[in-house]
Amino acid sequence: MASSLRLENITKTFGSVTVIDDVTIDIEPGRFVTLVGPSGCGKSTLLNMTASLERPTDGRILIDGRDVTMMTARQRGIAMVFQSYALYPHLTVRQNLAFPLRVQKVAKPEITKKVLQAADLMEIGHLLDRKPRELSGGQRQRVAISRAIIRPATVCLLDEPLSNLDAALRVRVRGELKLLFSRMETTTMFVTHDQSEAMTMSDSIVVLKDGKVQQQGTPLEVYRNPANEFVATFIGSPQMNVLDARIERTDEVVVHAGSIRLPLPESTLLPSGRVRLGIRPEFITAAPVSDGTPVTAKIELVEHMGNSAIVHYRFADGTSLIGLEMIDTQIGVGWEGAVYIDTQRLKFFDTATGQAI
Amino acid sequence: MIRRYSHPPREIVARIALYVAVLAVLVVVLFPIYWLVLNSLKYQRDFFTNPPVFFATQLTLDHYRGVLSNPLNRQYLWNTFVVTTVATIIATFVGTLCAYVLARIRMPFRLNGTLLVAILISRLFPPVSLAIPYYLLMRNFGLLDTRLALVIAYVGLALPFVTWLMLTFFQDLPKEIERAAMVDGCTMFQRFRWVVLPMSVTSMIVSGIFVFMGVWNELLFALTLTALRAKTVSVAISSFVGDNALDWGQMSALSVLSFMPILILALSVQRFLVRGISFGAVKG
Repeated sequence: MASSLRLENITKTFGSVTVIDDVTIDIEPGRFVTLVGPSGCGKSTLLNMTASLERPTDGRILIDGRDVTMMTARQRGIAMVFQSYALYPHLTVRQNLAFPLRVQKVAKPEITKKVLQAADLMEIGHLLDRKPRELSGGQRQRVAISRAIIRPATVCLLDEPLSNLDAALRVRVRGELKLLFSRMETTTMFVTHDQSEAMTMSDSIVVLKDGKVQQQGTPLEVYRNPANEFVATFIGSPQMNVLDARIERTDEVVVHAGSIRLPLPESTLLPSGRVRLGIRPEFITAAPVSDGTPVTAKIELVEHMGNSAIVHYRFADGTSLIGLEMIDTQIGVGWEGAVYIDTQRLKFFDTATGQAI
Repeated sequence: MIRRYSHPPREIVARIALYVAVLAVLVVVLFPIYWLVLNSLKYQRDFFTNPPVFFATQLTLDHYRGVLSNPLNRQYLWNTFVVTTVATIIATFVGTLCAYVLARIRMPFRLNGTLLVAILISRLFPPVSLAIPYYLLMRNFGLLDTRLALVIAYVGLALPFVTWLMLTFFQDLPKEIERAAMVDGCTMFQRFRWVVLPMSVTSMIVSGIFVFMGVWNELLFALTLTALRAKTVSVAISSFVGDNALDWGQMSALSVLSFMPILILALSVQRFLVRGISFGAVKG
């Protein structure tokens, strides 16, 4: 049975530095939640506090409604996969897997059975008698995950487990992990600085910056309705374009950003004045679209991705924007013409606070 | 046909120079040992010839017989063995525990650093300045001329060394492995016993070997703290140098007997020694 996890008003300070500032996160049983943010945002500290490796300065941690703040990892029943995998170098894979069970004084035959089960599940049966140093990075990672899932855990914590894998393997393991944890229905907290991992794997993501929660929600919610400029630019690849702009209300509502002039729907409630304008790259295209507003631009650079292309446009006043063509485009550097911007999908942020308007 | 690459002459000269240099070093290092072994096997008449006998044609084991037939010499060898072994085990074990605590537990008021320097300070004194206080202490405790006195003194001398060596090891040991053990449910003791200790065995052996060699050959404290019953072999060797007589043969024989265990130890644990020398420089 999966457990719920609640971090309640957690604060952590080291001396005079506040690393985590009054963070509250709720995770429902069986959900896969990702903490994502740039390095130094406090996500690992939050994870370590959940694992009882660090104590919060203030606040409570609740598992299934029970206050576990002062309890050890053992009492909390937590499992964890470390970034460096942290396998015991002097033990074989078999002994590594058996270790958590041995500590809990599980009977020998039971241990043997569980080790084989976990090894089968992660397809490492043939590696059981090797030492960690004889394994590749990917194999070590599988062992680390097996060790975490070998015993029933209330919450499983994953600390950037994919960051030491090469790019191709990372994408594969990403899918496998997602499948594994959705099948096991264990409550999982995953930490990463890679927004694409957060987007693809999670039921829900928590965006952190400077020890504060910026936004919580499903990946699509966060992507489509970012709470502020930071979230808007952090989530999504390529990044959202953000420009200084000005809204003018005369007989029509128009947003100006340099030479770019975009009419807004009349129903827009935005007041006149300065704003930050956000446009996702996929809503800027050189292909004529019915609901787009044409603006003249020149192509400076095209990054071909095979199935798509990232196009760098330069506008008359020197403003540069990044567009994403979903089908690899034939147009190349030097092309000049009308670029269509989807005005229905524009985002606006307060110039002072960065909050979405 | 395999084509052989010929070395340019300059490279050959450099190579020869290198071999000559190595040979010179070997002679300097090995000749005293050769001389010692030779002396322990020479006949008495070959000792005082001029020029000296560098390559004796006739050898004898008389000196060894003489040394070993004296029960006192056997007693000295045994004393050395007991004192060294006990002191090494205690110093290595206690030093490891001490280093682990200093590496892992952050004490208030920068106590860690202060303690580490304090531990080191005892090594900064010339040993002779410590020998006198040790003598007085042991006299007051009634421990003069006991093996216990030597063990206490040697443990005290070796602890800073072991602590510092093991400290660098523990500082390099990834913390995440211990954290994994915590998450897996280990208590602090289980963590030390099942995870840290097995990982430290090699380093402990390295420090142990260095301590063993240092203690085995120690002369100053042994000379100060013992008279007869607890006398060690190094003291016995030095006492062959008398005012009016010097038994080169027996002295050499006892010396050879006393360095044999160290030689065997050094050869059998060579790979640990090399590791110990590169300690901290290159991580394995």
